[in-house]
Amino acid sequence: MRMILIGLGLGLGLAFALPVAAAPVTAAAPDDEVWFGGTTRALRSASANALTEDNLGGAVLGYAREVVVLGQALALWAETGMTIDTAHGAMFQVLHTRIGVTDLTAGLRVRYQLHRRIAASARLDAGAQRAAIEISGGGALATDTTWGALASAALAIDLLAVAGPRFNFGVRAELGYVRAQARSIKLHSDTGSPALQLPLMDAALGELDLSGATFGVSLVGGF
Amino acid sequence: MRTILVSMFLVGLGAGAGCWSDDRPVRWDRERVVLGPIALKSQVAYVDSALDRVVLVDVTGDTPVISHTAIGRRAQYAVPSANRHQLFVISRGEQAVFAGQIDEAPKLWVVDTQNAGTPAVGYTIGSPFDRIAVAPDGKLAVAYFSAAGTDPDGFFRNPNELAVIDLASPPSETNPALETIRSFGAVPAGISLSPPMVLAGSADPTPRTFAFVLSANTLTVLDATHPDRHEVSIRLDLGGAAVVPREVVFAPKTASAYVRSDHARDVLQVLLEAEQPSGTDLHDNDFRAVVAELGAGGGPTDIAVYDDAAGRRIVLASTPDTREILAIDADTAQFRSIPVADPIDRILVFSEGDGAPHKALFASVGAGGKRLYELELDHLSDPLAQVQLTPIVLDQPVRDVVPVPGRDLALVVHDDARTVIGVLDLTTTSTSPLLGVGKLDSYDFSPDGSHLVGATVGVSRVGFVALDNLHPTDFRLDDPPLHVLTTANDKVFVDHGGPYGHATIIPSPSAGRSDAVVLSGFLTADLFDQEH
Repeated sequence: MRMILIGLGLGLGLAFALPVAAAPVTAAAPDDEVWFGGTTRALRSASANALTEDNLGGAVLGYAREVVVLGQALALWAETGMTIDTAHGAMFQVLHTRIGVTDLTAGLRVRYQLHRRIAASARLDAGAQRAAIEISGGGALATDTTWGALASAALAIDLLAVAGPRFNFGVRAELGYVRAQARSIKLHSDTGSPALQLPLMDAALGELDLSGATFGVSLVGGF
Repeated sequence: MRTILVSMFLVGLGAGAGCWSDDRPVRWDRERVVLGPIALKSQVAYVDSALDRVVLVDVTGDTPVISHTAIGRRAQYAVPSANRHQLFVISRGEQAVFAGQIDEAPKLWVVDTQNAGTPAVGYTIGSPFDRIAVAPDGKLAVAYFSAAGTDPDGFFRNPNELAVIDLASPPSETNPALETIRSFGAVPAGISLSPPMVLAGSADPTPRTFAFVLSANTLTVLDATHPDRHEVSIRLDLGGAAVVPREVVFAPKTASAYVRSDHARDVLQVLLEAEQPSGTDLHDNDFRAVVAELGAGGGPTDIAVYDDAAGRRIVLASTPDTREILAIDADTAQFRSIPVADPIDRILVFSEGDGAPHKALFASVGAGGKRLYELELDHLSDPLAQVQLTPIVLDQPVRDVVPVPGRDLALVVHDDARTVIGVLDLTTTSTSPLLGVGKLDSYDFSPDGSHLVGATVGVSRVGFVALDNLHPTDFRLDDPPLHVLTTANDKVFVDHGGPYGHATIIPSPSAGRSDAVVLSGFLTADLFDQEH
């Protein structure tokens, strides 16, 4: 909720600020960028709801490089990023659940310099998602890990506190959506016993869909 | 460009905020009770009260198959049919108090386990009954209340209310029929449904099922085929301690039943005779109950009924007070008394195949006697034949005796912890002790009686005893067992418990480890695909 309010505040602030921000755009700017921050993903699928009522939350980091200058204030950036999210929940009042998600992505971002200290951007990424599921309780612990594809798209606003020709630093607020491939989950219980185990047949819980809207705030630095 | 970007951002922000809020289906926060495992013909059933479904693990083939059948809210009791082809589940239902809950009345669900994918049939039973009696032919059922007392989730409870369900007909306004039986202050402790019986001399030649409702000091007989007709109440009290009916055995050929009660003088014979109903009372029944005491005379502690080779129905009753065993001809009430030294309280009857029983075994379990008695039944009805008990002296006291299905064998338990057991061979009247590693917490016999299968909680093994030669073997499990079951196709199902479902399926008592399979996660199978 706090993240939503922050996002709403930023959006409204920008809506008022941008029409009067008519200062010229700086042509010379850093063409490399890193960012690090927090992110959250709304889990709304039936399968995710089975595991938790919470949203995924975690950290995001990435690197981008300007690859094509499309105009005086418009540029295309190539980027790669990693997101690490977790969510905890409960089922049937006695089972504890944990979802751990790691996203590895690469993609393109179109960035438009609205002001020397303000930039708007849109990005489109694709990559892989590792989802680790853990359910414990009743004296049992079962886990599963899957890999799947994902695609994401987002809109972002950068507010720069420092905007120099060689270095800049600021805050990025980003709103997007992650479409993750639903993967079948089969829980396993590892006994850790060195003995030869009987042939095992795990029943699948079904396909877990971790798609959802995302919101993140990051510190961004250009160099 | 700037205006477009701002607009896009705001639209995206609004859309994102709009889809952020979410109502998680209430089913994931419910309290969950899993009933089972329940052994069926070739399946094992579990009932999940949170997910409102019956999980069936079919062990017919080499690979177990998991299927689900949806039932109503808050399942609280489940029993299989006599032929184990159906599962009957009572669901408590709920009232919609919180978001996501639904208004649903208590229902009886009939799950056809032989046809996967067939939806369960739900009969609205009106009250949250928590027990059910099913007729031996599976065509009628009666739902009733256990003696659990008041209903914490309700307001009033009428413990003498019954729901009579015609399982051969679809649910309707008149099916089930709700009836309140006459009471003299007691509440039902149990219900036995008769096999189909025809009343001699009745204008209605249709076989019908009678419900015998067992209450302290009262036996109530209800024509369950015509539940709208009046019941018959039979007072049992003698003025002293409450007479509590415990067992009912039926003689359908003579439309009679034999009732053993605690603190009763005798075995009670209840003969149902046709009687012309009243012309003015549309709900009058067309039978009367003729009650006779069968002359046990010593407070019977156990009874057994069998049909001899000549078709006569014989009631065996033990009367510890008089140190006798009585063999009563159910048709004539004539009886033979067989003196016995010990206070017998357990009677087992043995038959080969579908033939008439030819041996009976008597034990004094309550007194912990060291003797069992065998009785040849073949000539019991011959008044000229000498009837004699054959004592079988054991080294240790007898705490329990269980017949092996289809065999002249009995499992004898010698201590309360069930660590020392023996197998009694009635052919040779010899007993062979078997020493276990721990308490025999769960056991079963293979369907053909060839093997005893046992398990001890905390010991990761299943023990087998070949009952032909008493050769013991064991099967090393990966996890400790909780229950062990056998199915009709000779598979051994070892339930390990746990919230996800964890079981080892052994194809046969002689199978090796490589033949078995561990099935995990069957209780949570397809969890994400549940409809909400």
